[in-house]
Amino acid sequence: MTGAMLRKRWDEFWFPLGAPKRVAGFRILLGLYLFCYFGSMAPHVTLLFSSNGVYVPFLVPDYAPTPVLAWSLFSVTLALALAVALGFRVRVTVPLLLVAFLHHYFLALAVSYAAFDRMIVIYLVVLTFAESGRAWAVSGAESSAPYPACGWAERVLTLQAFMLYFGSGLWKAANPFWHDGKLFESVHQGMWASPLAFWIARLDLGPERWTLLAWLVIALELGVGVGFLFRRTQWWAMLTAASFHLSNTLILVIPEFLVCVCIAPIFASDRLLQSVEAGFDQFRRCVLRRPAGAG
Amino acid sequence: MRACIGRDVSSAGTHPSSRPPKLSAIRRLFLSAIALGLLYGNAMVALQPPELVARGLSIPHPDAVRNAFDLTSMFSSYSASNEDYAIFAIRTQAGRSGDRGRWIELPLSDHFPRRLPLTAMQIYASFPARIDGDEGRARAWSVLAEKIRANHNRLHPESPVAQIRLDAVQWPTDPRGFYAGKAPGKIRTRLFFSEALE
Repeated sequence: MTGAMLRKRWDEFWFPLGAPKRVAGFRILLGLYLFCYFGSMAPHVTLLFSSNGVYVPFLVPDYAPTPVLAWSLFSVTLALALAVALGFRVRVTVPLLLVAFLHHYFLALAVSYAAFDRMIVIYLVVLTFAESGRAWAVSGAESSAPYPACGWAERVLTLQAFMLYFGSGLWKAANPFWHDGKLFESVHQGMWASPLAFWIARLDLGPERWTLLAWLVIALELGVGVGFLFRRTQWWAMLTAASFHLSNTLILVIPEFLVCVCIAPIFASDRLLQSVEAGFDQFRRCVLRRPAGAG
Repeated sequence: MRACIGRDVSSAGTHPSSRPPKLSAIRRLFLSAIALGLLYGNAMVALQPPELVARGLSIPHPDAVRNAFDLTSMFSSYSASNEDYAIFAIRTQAGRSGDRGRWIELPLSDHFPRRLPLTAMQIYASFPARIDGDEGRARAWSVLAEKIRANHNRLHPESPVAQIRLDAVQWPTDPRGFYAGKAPGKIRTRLFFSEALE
């Protein structure tokens, strides 16, 4: 294969024409998620992010601002998350939201080593370069024509989903603690467990059933991961992943991992996209009093 | 692979363009670099759990990149006990007179307002520990203790404290509930950090 051919194949793979509405859907969900994510920390801004707080800066000097400034920065972050969800000047607001997230992350959140925080960073980096304002945006939308940057984002997010689920399944499959169900049973009685999890633990399922359930989780993660690689199974994989995270939220009280569901629009059916499009047009007409297609 | 993971743009509710838009060469290069970086970081972690690495199945994995992309190792170990945390501090000779020079317990929620699992992740300083091992964790705890002391002395000027101690209170897990196994005789307190006396 010649260099030119290789480059052509490379470009075809990473830069297909992508549907701006799919990436816009991802942008909306991620913006709303981050609004809720930071919103949940609103009662504790002084303690988490100001110089009067209790935090451990990670890999950075202690740059915690005064409480008033911390509140101002936090409020701007919330506003940016909403602006991103609404599609307001996303070429500016998305990178600013990434910077705002990193400000709070390195100051106080990173020390916890939470996977969902690093997931948010990856998603925001992709969104920064994804041209997500070409559809479903209140301002700055250029056109809803297919665009390679949107296709690039779809590719990257698809492969990211594959790696996340398949990798998680592989780690569990290789971990002896997962082979006999003891770890899985223990999780249902640990500090993440909800009352529902404790109820499940009280069912006295026995080692065989816990083992079976543990292997079902492993199979589900491996299957969902592979499912993201094939067009015909992507929506099934996304639906299963969303159900998995919802059950995790109810059983293990980790709503933060719902960030993984933000990529759902990337795999949405055409019919669903059209329904959302109709809803968005109605929103523009009613709330913004602007006709559809006015940009 | 392209046929597998790609989607049909023309059926995605978009209108076809007579001349597809293009990205500049520099932008393609930049986006390719990001895509490759993400792919490499994810693959490095996701496709090689420690058990496979131990068998020699490994690709180069700088620690910094590995730690940044470690998204797949949640719930990899377990314990037969649950735990809560307690902060103790020595009262200085200033302020109210009743407890001067004695250890007092500080309210955990004064300093760690989020739910218990998030507090556990913060209090164990997992990221510094991964980067620099026990030394990194000890440095993080020193910073944490200093902040706790300053925060307490600001909130409670009538009872200033000098030295901070962090304890884990442990008890056996119990399917009846998180605190159900916390019965007398089954509780164990583990000191995991104490500030050096100045």
